[in-house]
Amino acid sequence: MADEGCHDDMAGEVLLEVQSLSAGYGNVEIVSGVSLKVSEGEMVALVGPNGAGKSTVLRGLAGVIRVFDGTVKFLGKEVTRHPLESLVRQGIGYIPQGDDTFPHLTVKENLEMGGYLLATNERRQAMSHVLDRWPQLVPMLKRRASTLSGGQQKMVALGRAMMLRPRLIMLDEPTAGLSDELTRMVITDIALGLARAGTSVLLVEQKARVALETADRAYVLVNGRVAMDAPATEILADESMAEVFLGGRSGAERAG
Amino acid sequence: MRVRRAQVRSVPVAIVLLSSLALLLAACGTGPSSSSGGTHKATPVTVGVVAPFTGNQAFIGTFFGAACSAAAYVVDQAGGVLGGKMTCAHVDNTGDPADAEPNVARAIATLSNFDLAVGLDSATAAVTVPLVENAHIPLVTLNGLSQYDNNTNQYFWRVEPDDTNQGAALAAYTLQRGLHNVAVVFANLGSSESEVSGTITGLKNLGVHTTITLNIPSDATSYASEVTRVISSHPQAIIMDGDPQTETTFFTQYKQLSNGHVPPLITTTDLLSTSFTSAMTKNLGASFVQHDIAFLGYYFSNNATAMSQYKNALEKLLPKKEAETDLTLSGLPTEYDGIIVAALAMTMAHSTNGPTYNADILKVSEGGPGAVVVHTYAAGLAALKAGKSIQYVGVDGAFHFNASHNVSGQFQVFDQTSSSGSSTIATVTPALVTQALG
Amino acid sequence: MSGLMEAIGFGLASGAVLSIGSVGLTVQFGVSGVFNLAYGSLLTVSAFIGYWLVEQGLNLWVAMVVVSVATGVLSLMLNRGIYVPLQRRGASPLTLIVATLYVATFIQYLVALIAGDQQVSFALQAGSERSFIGFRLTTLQIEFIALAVALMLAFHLLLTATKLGRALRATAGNRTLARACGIRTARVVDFTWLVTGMMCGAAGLALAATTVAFDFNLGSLFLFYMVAALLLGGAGHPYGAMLGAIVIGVSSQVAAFYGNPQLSDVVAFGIMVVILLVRPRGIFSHSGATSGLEA
Repeated sequence: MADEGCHDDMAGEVLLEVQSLSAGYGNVEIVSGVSLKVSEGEMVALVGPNGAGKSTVLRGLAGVIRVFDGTVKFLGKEVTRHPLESLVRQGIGYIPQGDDTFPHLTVKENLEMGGYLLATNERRQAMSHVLDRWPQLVPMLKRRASTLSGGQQKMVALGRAMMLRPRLIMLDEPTAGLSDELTRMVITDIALGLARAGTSVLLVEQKARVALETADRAYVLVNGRVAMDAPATEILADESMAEVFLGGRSGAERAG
Repeated sequence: MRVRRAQVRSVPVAIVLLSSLALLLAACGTGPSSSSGGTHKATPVTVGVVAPFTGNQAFIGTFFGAACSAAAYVVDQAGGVLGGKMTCAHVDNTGDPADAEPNVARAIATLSNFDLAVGLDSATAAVTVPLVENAHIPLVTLNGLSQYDNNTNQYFWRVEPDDTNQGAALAAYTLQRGLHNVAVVFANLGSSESEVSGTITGLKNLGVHTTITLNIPSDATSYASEVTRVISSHPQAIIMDGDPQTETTFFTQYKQLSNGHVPPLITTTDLLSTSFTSAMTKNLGASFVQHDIAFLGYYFSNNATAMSQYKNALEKLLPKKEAETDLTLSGLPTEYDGIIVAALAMTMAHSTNGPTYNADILKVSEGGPGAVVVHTYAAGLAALKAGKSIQYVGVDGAFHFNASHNVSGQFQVFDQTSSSGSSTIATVTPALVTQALG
Repeated sequence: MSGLMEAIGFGLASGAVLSIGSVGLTVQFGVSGVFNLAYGSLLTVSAFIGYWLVEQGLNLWVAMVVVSVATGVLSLMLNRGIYVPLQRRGASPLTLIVATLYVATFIQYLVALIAGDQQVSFALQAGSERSFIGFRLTTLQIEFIALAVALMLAFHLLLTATKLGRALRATAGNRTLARACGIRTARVVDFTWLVTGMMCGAAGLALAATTVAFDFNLGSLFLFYMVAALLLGGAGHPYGAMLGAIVIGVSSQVAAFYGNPQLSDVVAFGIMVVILLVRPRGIFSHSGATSGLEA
C-alpha cells in the first residue's frame, strides 16, 4: 500500500487504490504507471491537457479497455481487469463519456435500467430516492432521453448510475459539449447531490478550473503520467499548472 | 447439351468431386504427346478436345477428355489410324471466348497433327468454329446453339440436335399422345430460350391448345400461386422442363392444392435420375411416377456391342465407379462415337488430312446401299480392308446429318417402369419434329 | 378476386416462415453487431438434420425441437469460437462480414460433401387443404403460421415483460452502458445467439418441409429474402422484420399470381426499394435509431 497519507487525513476508508496502471488500445499503451487513490466521501478530479490520457485511465479502471500492467483495488480487494458489470455489482458506478443514456427509452425507463440488478420493490425504492435527490428529473420522467437537453441528459445519466447506490462513481467528462455555464451547474449539482448521498467521485474533466473548484483533491495527468497530485486548491493556486492547462484564463472564467 | 445443364448448379462441388478424376486422367497420359511414329509413313493423329479445363466449368473438360481418351484407347487397341497412334490434347477454352480465341489459335499453330477437333463449346463456339474451319480441321461439336441450325461451315459436324429441336419434340410427343390441352411450365434452370420457343411454336404449329404458359423461377420455396393458375387452366397434361428440385416442389404443391388430382407430366430425360424419381415417388406415389411421367430425350440406341466396348475402355482408364456413374451420360458417348466415325473416315480416305477425309464422315455415318453396319472401330477397319462400304452405328446410334451438317432430331420417350429402370414408350420421328418447327 | 385472396393466403404462409428466420437474423445483428451471412448456411444444416430425423421416423414437431436446440448450440459455438474472438481483436465490421461469408461458404459445401449435392425430398403429408375466408392452405401451412405467430408473441413478451428482455434491449442499444447497469452482456450475447440459432433451426425445418424438395443451396437462396425482410423492417428491428417478411411473402405471391412468375421477385424487391426510398432506415425505425431493439 502506498504511503501518501498527507492528503487523506480528513477522509475515511480508502475505496479505490490504483498502482502503476498501464492501459491502452490494442497494443498501444496510452497511459503508464498511473497511481491514484480515492477515499470515502472524497471527490477526486483527474485533469490535464487534451490527449493526456485522462479518459483512458478511467476506461482502464472501468474494465472496458485493455490493462497492460498495474493493480486496482476496491475496498481492499483486487479487482484488476474485472469486467465493468462485475465492478458495478461491487459498488462502482460508471458514466461513460458521450452516449450515457439509452436515447430511445424514457427517463423512467433509463432509471429502471439503472436498477436492473434490483428486485422490483427495491427498484421502486431506489427510484424514489434518486427522484428525492434530483427532483428536477420528476417532470421529465415520461420523456424520451433523446428529447432532453445535454444538461438534462447528464442528470438522467447520473440518476441511472445512482440507482444502485454505488460507493464510488466514475464520471468520464460529464460536461463534454456543454456551455461553460451549464458545466458549472452540472458539476456543482453532481457534487452536491453525491456528497449528500455519501458517494465518492472520481471525475475526469477537461474543463479543469470548474472541476478543481469543486473537487477535494486532483491528479494532473500529462502525457500519460501523473505530473502532480495535490489538494485541488493547491493546484488551482499553482501558477505553472495554470500555464500548462488552464490557459491563464482565470479572470474570464471566474466572471461566469 | 444435356451434360451442361444438369451439372451447372453444383459446379464447385463437381470440381471438388472430380478433381480426383482429373488427376487420374492426367496420370493416364492422355495429354499431347508428340511421338513421331518413326515407322514407315504412319503419322499420329492428335484430337484436340476443346472444352473448359480450368475455371468453374472445368468438370466439363474432365468429362470430355475422358470420352476422348476412351476413343483413342479403342482406336489404338485396333492398331491406330492408318498405323498411327491417336492421342487427345486438351485445348482449354475456359468457357470464355476471350480465353478460347488465343488458346484455340495457339493449338492450331503448335499442335502437330491436329487433325480433329471435338468439344462442348456453346459459350465459345462463335470464336472456335471459324478458327478450326479456316484451319480445315473437322469439328465434332455438341453445342446447342440455334444459330447453327442453318450452318454452312464445311468442317462443322453437330452430333446432337439443338435445343429448339428438343422443345419441338416435346410438342410433337404431346400430339402423338392425342392430347389437346396442355399447360407449359418452364423454369429458368433447366430450359433454354430456344427450347421454350421450340415447344411453344411446335404446339401452335401442330394445333395443340396451350392452356397456360408459365415461366417460373427455379428452386423457389413456394409455387402456390403459379400452381393455382395452372390448375384453373384445366390442362390434360403439363409439359415442364426445369431442374429436378423445382419440378418436385412444383408437383407436390400441385397435388396439395388440387385435392390430389395431378395431370401427367411430360418432361425431359435430364430428370431421369434416382433422386428425382424417389422424391416424386414419396410425394406423388409410385403409380404416378411409373405411369404418368414421360421423359423425352435425344434418341439413344444404346447399341450393346458399342456400349460395352466404350465402357470397357473407360474401365481400363478409370476406376469402375466413375466409369459407370458419370461417363455414360448422354453427350459423352456421342462425342466418343463422333471420334470413331472420324477415325473410320480417315481410314476410308487413306488420309488423316482434314480436307481429304472430311467428306467421308458423311459416308461412314449414312452408309448407303450395301453398306455393312459396324458397331466398333475394329469391325469397321476389317470391313474397309475387305473393300466394303460401312455404316457405323455406335453407342449413340447412327448419325443422320442433314445439309447443314446437323444431326436430324429423332427423339425417344421413356417411362420409369420400376425403381431401377426405364423403358421406351414412344419415339418421335424427325419428320414430326420438322413439322412442329414449321 | 378469390384468386387474390388465395395468393395473399399463400403469401402469409411463406411470409410466416420467412418471419421466423428474419427476426432471428435481425436480432442477432441488433444485439451483437455481427451481420452473420452464415445464418443461411445454418438454416441449410437444420433443414438436413430435420430431414434426416423425419426420415428416421421421428415426428415432425419432435424433430423441430431437436433441430432448434442443435442449431441454437451450433450458432452459439459459431459466435463464441469465431466472431467473438475476431471482435475482441478489433476486427473491423468489413472484416467481420467477410469472415461470416467464408464461414457461410464453408458450411454450405460441408453440407454438400456430407449430404451430397443432389436434392432430397420430404415425404410429408401436408394434411388436407382447408379453405376459409378465401384462403386455401394446407394443415401444415396453418400450423407453421400458428408457430410463427406464437414465436413472435413469445418474443414480444420476452422483450417487453422480462428482465432478460430488458437486458437484450440494453445490450443492443449500448453495450458499455448496459454493462454499467450491471448487465452481463457476454451472457446476453450468448443467449441471443442461442435463441436466434433456435429460430434459424425452426425456420429451416419449416421451410424445408413446406418446400418439399431442397438441396444444399436452400439457405443461401433464402438468406437473400431474410436480408430483404430485415432491411425492409429496419436492421435490428424485430417487429420490422416480421412486417417485412409478410410484405415480401405476400407481394411475391400476388405478383406470381397476376404476372410473369419469373418477375415475382422483381416486383417484391421493387416494392422494397420504393419503401426504402421513402423510409431509408426501414419501416419501423425512427430517425437516429441505431437499433430497433432499443426502441
